[in-house]
Parts: sequence; C-alpha cells; structure tokens
Amino acid sequence: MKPATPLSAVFATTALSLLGAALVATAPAVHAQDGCATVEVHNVRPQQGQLMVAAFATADTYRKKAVAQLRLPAGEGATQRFQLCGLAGSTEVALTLFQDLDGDGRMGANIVGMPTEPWGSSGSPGTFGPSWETGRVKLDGSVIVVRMSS
Amino acid sequence: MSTRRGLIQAALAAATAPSLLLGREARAAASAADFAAAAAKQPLLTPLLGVDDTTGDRDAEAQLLGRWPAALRGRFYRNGPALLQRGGQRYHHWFDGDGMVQQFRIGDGRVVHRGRLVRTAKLRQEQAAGRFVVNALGTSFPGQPPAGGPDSFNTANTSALEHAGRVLAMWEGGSAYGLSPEDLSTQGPLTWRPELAQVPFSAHPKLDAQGHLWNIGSVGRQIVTWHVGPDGRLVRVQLTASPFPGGMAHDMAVTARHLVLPLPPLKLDFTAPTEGGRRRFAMSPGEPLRVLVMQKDDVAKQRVFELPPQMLFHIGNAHETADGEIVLSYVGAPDARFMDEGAVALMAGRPHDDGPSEVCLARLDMATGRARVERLPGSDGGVEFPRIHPQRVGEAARHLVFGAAWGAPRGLSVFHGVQLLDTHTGRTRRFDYGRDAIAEEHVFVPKPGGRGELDAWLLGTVFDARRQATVLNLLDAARVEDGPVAQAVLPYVLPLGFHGNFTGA
Repeated sequence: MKPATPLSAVFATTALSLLGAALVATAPAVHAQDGCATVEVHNVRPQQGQLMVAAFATADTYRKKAVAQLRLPAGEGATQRFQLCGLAGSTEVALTLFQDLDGDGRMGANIVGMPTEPWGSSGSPGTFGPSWETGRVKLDGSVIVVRMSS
Repeated sequence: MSTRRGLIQAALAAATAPSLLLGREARAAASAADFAAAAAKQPLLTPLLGVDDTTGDRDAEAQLLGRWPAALRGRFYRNGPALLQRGGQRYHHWFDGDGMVQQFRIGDGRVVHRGRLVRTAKLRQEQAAGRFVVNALGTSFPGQPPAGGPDSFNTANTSALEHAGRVLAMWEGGSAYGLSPEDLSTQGPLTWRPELAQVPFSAHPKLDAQGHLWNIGSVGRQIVTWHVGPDGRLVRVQLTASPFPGGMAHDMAVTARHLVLPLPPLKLDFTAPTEGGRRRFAMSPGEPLRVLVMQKDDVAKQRVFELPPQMLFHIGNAHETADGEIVLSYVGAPDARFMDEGAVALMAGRPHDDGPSEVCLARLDMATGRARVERLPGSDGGVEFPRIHPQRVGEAARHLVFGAAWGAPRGLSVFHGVQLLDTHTGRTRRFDYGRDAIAEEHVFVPKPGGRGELDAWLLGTVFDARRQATVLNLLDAARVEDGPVAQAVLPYVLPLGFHGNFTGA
C-alpha cells in the first residue's frame, strides 16, 4: 500500500502560538487587504481539544515558516468558522491544520510518521497529505474551506 | 489475496459471452445491475454477489457428509472481501470489498458456521452514510475528506487467524482488527501501543511452532517488523529501510534466525486515477524480484538478494540449511495482470486470462549474496495459495498444497482442484472438484499424534455451483487424490475468500 505522507513533519515542530487572530464565529469573508480571511473547517470532532492552524504564503516557506498561526477550542459542531489574520501582503496562502485531541500541542504521529490526530489542508490535499501545490488558495475574499480527515 | 488465475474465465467465456460484451464495453467496470444480470446466467458467479451489511451475518449448522473424525476439533477461519456492493454501487476491484470472517467450529459430531462482517471504522462510516464513500484500492469516490490514515479505509479483508485468545482479521496496509473467537464480534484495531496506531500489520504473519507470531508491514520507505509472543503481548517492533520503497510487500517467511521478505517489482499508486478499477498497479520494468533477509533479533543486519523479475504474492515456506543457504519456496508469475485486470474482470463477471504461474524454489546464499532460482514441476495450469504443514513453518518442509488448475480448458475456473507437491520428487497429486466448483485455499491440519508432514488433513472450502452452496471439505493429506473424506454443506453461499487458518481446540 502506498503510505501516508508523514504529516508529522508539518505539524510536529512546535506548539502553535496564538497570534492574536480574532475568533469571530460566522464572520463574513474578509478581503486579504485587511490581512484576514474567513476559514470554514468541516469534519471537526466537536468539543475535543483544539484546532491548530498554520498559514504559509510561499512554496519556499511551506511547512517551514508560517505567516500566521492560530489555535482555538473545537466548538460544539462539526463545522467551525473563524477569521484568520496576519495575512497582509500575501496573494495566496496554504493552510495546514490538525486537531490536537490530547492537548499536547503537537500533532500525534505513529512510529512511521503517520498522523494519529485529524488533519486538514486548504485546497485539495488528496488522500495522503498536502503540499504547497495542492494546498494553496487565492486570497480573494472567498471563504477558505478545509475538511478535516475522516 | 490470491492470484486466482483466470478465475471463472473459461466458464464465463462459455456461458455468458453473449451477455457480457466482449468488445470495448467489456473493459468498463460493472454496475450492480450488470453483475446481477451476469450472475443470473452463470451459476459460478453467485459468491461474487457478496453480502450486505444488514443481512450479512450467517449462522448455521452444516449438513455433514462422509466421516468427520472425532479427533478433529477446532476452529477454522477464513476471510475475504464480502460486501461488494451497496444499492446500485459496485466496487470495481475484488480487493475493495469489506472483510467478512468465517468461522467453522468443528467437533462433537458437528460443524457450526458463523460469518460476520468485520465492523471496521470504514464499514461503520458507510453504514451511516448508506452508500460507499471511502476511497478503495480500485474504486474512487471523489469529493471525500482526506484520509486520517490507513485505518480509515482498512477493510480487514485478507486473512484471519486465531492467536492468544483473539481472532485477527488482517489486511495489508493498516492495523489488524481483533474479533472475539466466541461470537466474532469486532473489538477494534489491534495496536498494542499508542505509537503503533495505524502501522501496517500485513495479512500473512507466520506462527512458529512455539506460538510466536512474526509479521511485517510496509510503509513507503520503511519496513516494519512485528514479533508478538505466544501470550499475545507485543515483544518487539523494529524498523528498517525498504530496498524497494513504495513496493508491494505482501507475504513473508520466517526461519530459525531470519525474516524473509520478498519484494516484487510492483508498485501501487493509490493517488492515480483509476480506469474502472485499473491503472493503480504497475510492474517496474528492469527491476528484479528482491528478497530482503533480516535477522530476527536485529533487522538492521540484513542482506538483499536480487532474483530475476517476477511477480510474487505468496510464499510457501523458508528454512535455513546447514551450509548457510536460505531456501524459499513461492509462487511466481511473469506479471501482475491479475492485480490490474483480473480482479477487475472478476467483479464485472467477465472472462480474463491472468497468465501463467509457477512454483519456484530460491536458494539464497547468505555468505555470498548469490541466489539461484529453480522452477518446480506441477504448475501446468496455474497454482496459488501455497500452504505447508503448520509445524514446519521455518523448517524444512517437503510438501506444499495449492489451489490449482490443470488440463485442457473446460469451461471452469482455473481453481477447480487441490494439488499437493512433493518438492523432493516433483510428484504432484491432485483432486478435481469438478467443472461446477470453485476451489479455495486448503490448509494443513495436523492429525493428533501424527509425526510426518502427511499425517495431516487438508481443510478447505469450495463453492459448489450445482448445490449453490459453500462446502467445507476434509481430505487426507496422504491420499489427496481420493478427494474429501468428509464434507460440511452450508445452507447458503459464502462470498469467495482469500486466506484462513485452523486453530485446534
């Protein structure tokens, strides 16, 4: 079987820090000139741990240096909407997410690097994990939709 | 998984060709309606209708024929893809189906059957959805969320083994599922430790004579080795780099000191678009058949042998000789057309030529790294499902039993019989279940007190199209050609399965 891409490399660096991006439930999509975008996450495990969000602005910095990071408690529903700020100056972005179920600030992974906690990406990450190419989306005021893994 | 060479091919050609569109349209995957129409005309196809998840449970006491020995007591398990369609959806590839474990309790003058779908996370998700939604090996369902890992699409459909008080329903790419031997209720994935969640535990572990269970898993660039003690506790997991990253690692052998892992030059690209179930499996031209030999106690101490290119699903056995060789028996094939085409044709109910297969013996010189491959006789019509006496695992085993076909095409599955090969003499002995039968894997069951390899019975299932029933057969290994000494006839048809194992009571 083809393996899962080791997503732990994406998430296992450090605990994501809260950057002051506002959590605004049901906020409208906001244009990137404002430095913020609305993110809608599906398939969230309700009320379990926190969503950890990282935004990358270029292929070179993808999975290496985030332009924005955010963590917020998983809400009561399977769909969660929030505003992610700190994106000023970017024309496109790729988001990577995981749901920190055990609260250790790191994405759980097994001994071969497969994620053991739900993960997600903007764009169309496919079955086995995201890349810059599959994850990038334009910051044009549209809502960025992410589906967490099944 | 089997290379069911041309399973049903000739029968279908004879009986259903007009209705099965032998032109371009025949290359398309079948719908459930197409297949139902084909099955209505061809009685051999019935097992491939499968079961559904509301009526999939099977419980019955079998009708006994012949003489079931009082000394034979235990539980015979089998597993295979059983839930093959939902509503109008039908999987394109035979390997896609959800696993169903069959248990035959033998003893006290009775054979009692119980069959249960493995209640995997994938099955539960699709039950809730009321349709297939999870991408499978040969069938895609666009627009689904990304996979959380292999266990989110684990079908637990390849083999079953009772060990240390639980039944393991095994697949290739993810965790084994544990089931209760009492009622076959699903207990969940077996991971032993949290950091081993979703780590592949392949479907062909080897149980040595002391009750130790050895296995492998393949994860991209890494090979995982598993050692589970007789008490079911995990003894050790080790990792090593694969000499053929991304290649299929399906079956393995164990010797006194080594783990022996064949790596055929076959790659699977799960992300590739399928064409009605095809195009995800490809042989790598110019690549050899590699055999990775690892020391059990330190898999970093290893040697890689390169054999002539061959496709390989299943090994018979391996053992070490006094002069430093490892002798590995296996079934080889020139290509992987069964994986890419045959298993798709099967699901569509149309004929297919899966090409030849043969029994091979590789001698691996651990001192020099050289290998020699010898072709053994008895493969004139194709063989698969090699099994040996269970108390010879890792030691010299003279006899191999196979599902087999031979003779001129006769409008039947290539797998119409069972065949015993004496590797010392090359002599084969066979029993033909007939033109209306599909023979499945047969396993050795030692006779109590027996000492020789042939002091054993052979136990295996056959689909009898005339009865429209699955029949459990018992043969004397010393007189295979005489056919079953006893049979247990179920009042229903079980889906065709892959592999199984017997556990003595």
